[in-house]
Amino acid sequence: MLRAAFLVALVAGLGFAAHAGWRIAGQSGAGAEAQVEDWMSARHVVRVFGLSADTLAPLVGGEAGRPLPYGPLRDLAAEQGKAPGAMVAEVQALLDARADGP
Amino acid sequence: MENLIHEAYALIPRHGPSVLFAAALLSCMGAPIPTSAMMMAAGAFIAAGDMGLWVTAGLTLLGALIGDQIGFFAGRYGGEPLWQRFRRRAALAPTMDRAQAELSRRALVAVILSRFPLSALGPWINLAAGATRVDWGRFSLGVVLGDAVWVGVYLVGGYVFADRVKAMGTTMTSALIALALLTLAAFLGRRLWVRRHG
Repeated sequence: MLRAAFLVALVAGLGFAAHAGWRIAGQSGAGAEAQVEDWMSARHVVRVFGLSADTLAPLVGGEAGRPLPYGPLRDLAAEQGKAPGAMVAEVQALLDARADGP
Repeated sequence: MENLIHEAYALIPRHGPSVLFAAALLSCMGAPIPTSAMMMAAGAFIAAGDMGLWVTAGLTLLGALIGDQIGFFAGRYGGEPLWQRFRRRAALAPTMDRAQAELSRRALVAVILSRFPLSALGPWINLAAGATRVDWGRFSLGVVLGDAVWVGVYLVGGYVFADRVKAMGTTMTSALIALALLTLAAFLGRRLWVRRHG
């Protein structure tokens, strides 16, 4: 009984460790989050996608040279009377344009 | 499910660390809230400069500790009479006494393991520990150690892997389950070794 419990714990533990290791290895060379989403904050978008804060600021209701506004993109969109999806699309378009640029 | 998690993520930059306090408190009392995933996201928001690390870690840990204590005392005052009622049945008493002695002996390990790798068991362990009169000091020590690791691992994980929060949630869970199972295997292996070699 004890031996069986030991073997089950060992095999399952190694299995989960392999799963975690495989995912970490698979992610280490890959890019970050692929898409902008409406739960992300403006600062999070800047950090994850490598945009400059001054470039993003006009889209999210901020001003260049000043700290970005707090809150998720969906709230920042609502403050400007936009649908969350519209703001996400605008930010995504900015990212795509940068990726396509020279 | 993914939409619900996104709703939970969006609460964090909207309300700040107080959301983590509430999520940890309620989930430690048994509410089905994705607190581990929210802590990963909070780590990413900390990395982006939306929140401070120490305030977030402190409030999350405080919420978890309070939630665990509420569960423990709910077990002590609500569950113990129920436990004693079942124990009066002669057929159940020996088994229940053995279970109580075992839980009391291994309370520290059980509580620590049920905080982070097997966190779904946490609220039940809180109730059981209270109902079986596990020593409050040992319970609290286990809770402090376990919750500190739980909060620290997920917040730091989110901070380090801020650009891939969604994917890392499942990876962290697998890593913590692996850690728990391999620790259990090491414990069982040691007992097997002692049994064979004296």
